[in-house]
Amino acid sequence: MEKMLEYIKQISKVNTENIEPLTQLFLNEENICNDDEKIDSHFKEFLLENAPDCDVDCIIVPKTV
Amino acid sequence: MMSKRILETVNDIKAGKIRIKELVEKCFENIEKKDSTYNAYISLDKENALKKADELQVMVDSGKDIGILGGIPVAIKDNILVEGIANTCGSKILENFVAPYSATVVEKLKKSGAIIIGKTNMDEFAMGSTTRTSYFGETKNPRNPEYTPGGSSGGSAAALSADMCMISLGSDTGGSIRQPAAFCGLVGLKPTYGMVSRYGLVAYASSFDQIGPMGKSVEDVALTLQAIKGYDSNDSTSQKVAECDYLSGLSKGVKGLKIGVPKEFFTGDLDNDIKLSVINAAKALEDNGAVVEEISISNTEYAVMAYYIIACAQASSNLARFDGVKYGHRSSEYNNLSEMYENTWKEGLGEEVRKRIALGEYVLSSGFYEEHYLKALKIRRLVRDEYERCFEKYDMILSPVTKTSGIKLCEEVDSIKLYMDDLYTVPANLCGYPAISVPFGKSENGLPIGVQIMGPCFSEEKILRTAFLLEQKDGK
Repeated sequence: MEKMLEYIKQISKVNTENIEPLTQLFLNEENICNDDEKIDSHFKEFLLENAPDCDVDCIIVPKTV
Repeated sequence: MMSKRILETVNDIKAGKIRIKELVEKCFENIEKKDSTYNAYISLDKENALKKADELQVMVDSGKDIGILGGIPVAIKDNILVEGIANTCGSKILENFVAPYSATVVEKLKKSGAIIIGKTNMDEFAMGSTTRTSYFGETKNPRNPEYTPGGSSGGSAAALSADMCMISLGSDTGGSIRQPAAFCGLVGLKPTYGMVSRYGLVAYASSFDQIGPMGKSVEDVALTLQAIKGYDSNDSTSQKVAECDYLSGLSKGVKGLKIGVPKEFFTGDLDNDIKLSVINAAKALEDNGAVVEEISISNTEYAVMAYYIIACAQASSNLARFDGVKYGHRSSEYNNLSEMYENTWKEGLGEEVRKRIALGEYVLSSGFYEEHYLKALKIRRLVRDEYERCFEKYDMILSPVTKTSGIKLCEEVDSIKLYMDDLYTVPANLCGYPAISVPFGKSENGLPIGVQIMGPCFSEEKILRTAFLLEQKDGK
């Protein structure tokens, strides 16, 4: 980990004055909003099958309070 | 049968010369014979593959269209969801996770008539370049089993190279399709960012990740790209691109194309064999009418550093979802929620993944964000601006794919050195450009060498036909 930190610190040598960060490669003109629609699926069964611990209808998590 | 070209095979199927079931059975026969040695697959789906083969054969026999990949056995990297099949990402934390839906690329392949054979081994969460970080064991290179197939899509490359499928899909975040393709003597394409939907790809570094095809020929890769490309409203970064037939343009040649070769890529510890292959590739292109010139690209080493900072930052955010709550492995050793999170990660994730998440969290933390993450994003713009200027003068850039022709399985390689070896491949991911690795020449020890052709965004047609020409001239 220390080696990795040392390695990445070298970027400080690059002059980036007045350079804008590149956060998006393409700016899509419109936001994609799909319509809400009810579909038949077995998603709930899939979710519960994949859960590490579940009851009949719920995923069980450790008590937090 | 398995080493034939896709187009030829599909035509033979349509003409009744090949029965689809026979082809799929041959594929599983090869897997049975060879995969205990190579370990290319994590899971197989024989029952559904044979069922699909029967369905398609009925269509062929009744004169119906079976699609451009009709009957072709395909392997899918284990970070691309296939409904009903385990999707592990090469990690213990997802060992028992079954995909609830299929990725868009998988649906597109199925619509094109392809038959999904199984899911292939990979570096854990695509973090690596040897397929040695997989929880399911290392994969061996069929070209020489003493070597790694590269990575992270090493399983997809090995499965294809050993005739255990006819096409495969990989994902490329920093070279993970192109480098294993080069090591295994295959063609590997990283398409333009946004050209192929990422819906259903388990995210590593979302602004770099791209699904792409591997094939035994440029034609096979072009055909697969034709099948999987296209806009998808389920992926907010998907791009609407004009229709293009990648196959028909392949034999157009390279006359008049301007190709740059960066001189900075030939310094340092690049193997002589690889240097010679790139020089020979440049000569072949020149002999066929292209104009090849030496160019200069600065900031190459810093590009790799910026890449790793951004990739790790995005990984730390993306992998936060694997917390042992809703799915995946959950530690049984805990007294409270914090301990559950901590022990789940310790047990479920490998060292390389935990290291990259830690680095990502560090560069995003208050006090270090500007110095590292923001700085890396600025370098990303510097790098892209420089390549954009370059593409104003040149149609594409020719370069090596890797510094060496292979990594021995027993070789202990320093992780920083492995990162630096991505020097030639990461610019395509930083800038979103398409890039292809095509075999050209062999090393002294008989291993294949790949050369890379990279072009500006959406220049797939040009880079495919340039690769096609090199493929025709390889060894001549």
